[in-house]
Amino acid sequence: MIGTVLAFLVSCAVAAFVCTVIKEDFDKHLLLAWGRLFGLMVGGISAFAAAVQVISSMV
Amino acid sequence: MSEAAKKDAHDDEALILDAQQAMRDRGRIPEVAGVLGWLIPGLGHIYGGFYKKGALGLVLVLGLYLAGLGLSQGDAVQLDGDLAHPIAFVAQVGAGLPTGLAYLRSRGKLPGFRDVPAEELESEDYFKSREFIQRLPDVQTGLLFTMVAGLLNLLLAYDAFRGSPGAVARHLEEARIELRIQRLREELSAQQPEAEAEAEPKAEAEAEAEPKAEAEPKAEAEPKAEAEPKAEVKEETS
Repeated sequence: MIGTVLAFLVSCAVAAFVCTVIKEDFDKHLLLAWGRLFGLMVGGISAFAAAVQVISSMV
Repeated sequence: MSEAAKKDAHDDEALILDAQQAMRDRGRIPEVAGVLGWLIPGLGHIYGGFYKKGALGLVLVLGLYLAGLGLSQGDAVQLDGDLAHPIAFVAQVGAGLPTGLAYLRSRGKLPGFRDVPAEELESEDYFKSREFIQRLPDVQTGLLFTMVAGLLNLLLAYDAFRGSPGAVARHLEEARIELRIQRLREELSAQQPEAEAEAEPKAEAEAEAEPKAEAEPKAEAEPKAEAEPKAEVKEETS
């Protein structure tokens, strides 16, 4: 379980980095944009997974 | 598409060409940067002069790839036999050299290959064995890591090939917005004298009208003021 969560977080972090680094420069924008995209990815995917779990438990 | 949007799109295209041209001006060839970036994650950016981007890309993307390879003990990159992952290999090819080396390793041509005898692989007992089942989650994670790293590296390599215009584009967009604001201010300041020129005759006319209006009440007030002292004098004399 921990391994899965870690794998998910690491994948999201690297994906967010690559998608940010091609758009931003190395100033304050990079860290902010990286963190924002990482948060969006983790939050969005987690919310989607939670919704799937809830719906599948109801059916 | 509006005229302004067309002009912006044209500017963006020119900017991307400029980024590549700027790279050539520095004595770097964009095509070489693209190939280097594909071979080793981040190397294209380092070659192009974007050292921080390249170093971070190298650490993160190559680190992710190697972590995946390590977790699966090399089984994530396979094209032969029952352990093959041909579709995953398409994504893994995005990281050129590491995938090539891992593939050679899976063929037993590099050291570190965990050789499973063919007879053992052919028997169904191997795939039902505790060892194989225990390793499955790690192999899955390794597959995920190597695939994601391969696909992301394609983005990095393409960015290196285009001369990494992303940050430049953002700066240009900011400069473009500032220019628009400046133009609007200039237009406003150009319109202001006209408005003032239009407003002046009105103001003069109002100014001319106001003294009359002010003068009239004074004219009315003055006779009273003059009349009051007389009344006071009369009271004194009486």
